[in-house]
Amino acid sequence: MNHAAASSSPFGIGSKKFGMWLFVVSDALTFTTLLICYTYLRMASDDWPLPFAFSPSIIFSSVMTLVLLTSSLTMVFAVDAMKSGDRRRTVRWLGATMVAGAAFVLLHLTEWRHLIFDEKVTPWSNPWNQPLFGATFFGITGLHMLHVTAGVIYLGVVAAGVLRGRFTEEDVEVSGLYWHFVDLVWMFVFPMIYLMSVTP
Amino acid sequence: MKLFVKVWVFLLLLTAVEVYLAYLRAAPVVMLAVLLVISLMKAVYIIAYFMHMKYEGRLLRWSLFLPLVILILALLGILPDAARAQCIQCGRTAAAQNSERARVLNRGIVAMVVPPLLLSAGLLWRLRTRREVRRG
Repeated sequence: MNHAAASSSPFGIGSKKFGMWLFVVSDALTFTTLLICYTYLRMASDDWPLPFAFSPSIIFSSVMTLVLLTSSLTMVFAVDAMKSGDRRRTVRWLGATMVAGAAFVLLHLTEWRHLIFDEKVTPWSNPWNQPLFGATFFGITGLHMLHVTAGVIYLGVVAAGVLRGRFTEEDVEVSGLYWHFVDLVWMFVFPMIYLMSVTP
Repeated sequence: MKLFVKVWVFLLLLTAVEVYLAYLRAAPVVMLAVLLVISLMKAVYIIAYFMHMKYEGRLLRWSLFLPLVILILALLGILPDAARAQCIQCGRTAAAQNSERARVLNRGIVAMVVPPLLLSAGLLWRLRTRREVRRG
């Protein structure tokens, strides 16, 4: 790392890392706005559906949460491996993170498939007569799933580069920032969308 | 590394508490309050440890998070309006009885938001003051 450049930065971090932090915060604004709009719509309607049975829906989404949280831990290990200069170990941990991310997307798509084809929920209609439910559900979880998918691709590009001797410790750390952020967003989506909609 | 595994276990425990709450089918208001507090705690731990914010400068922290907090506070300002529109029954009955009641209802809703915000502010403060210089 270029220490002269880093120490001349008023924030004391490299420009790549600072750039990612700016992206993360602006992306956080997007998700915040979506979640608060969802809360608004929900509070303003007196018959919001509560379609998620504890078993299997809540248990299923809890497993998804576990997968995503664990992928954050493997990402921490990848950054640590890169710090100690072990590129092979870095790629292995990045791979583990990607597998967990892909597993999350697959689980999520399974759940979407069930909702769309078995429960007949679409973004504009559902059997519970509250079309906004589908709009908010697919809008928020869809945008999050898009982030996870993009993250898996991003980590793939980083892993391929690391394997060929490209990229520095900072690059891996920056990709980690993005990944943890995606995990962080789910920590709000999971309770607000799923847990608050458990079938009584 | 041991520290990160500990944080991970802690985050899993917090998630387990949330899921258990859903299993109990706690009253929506209680559930919302507790879930918000726990989610904010999880967010603070992910940002502080996994995203290393604990080891970054104070200037960066304020520059990044102050705008976010202001936006959240501004957006929360629209929620009492939704509650009035909805809770159509309770809103209307309260308004029909007297406007004082309606005002109390609104104040109650706003008050519900205060504990989670205070708690997260407290957590951030603690992380700030207990900042240790730890590298590598």
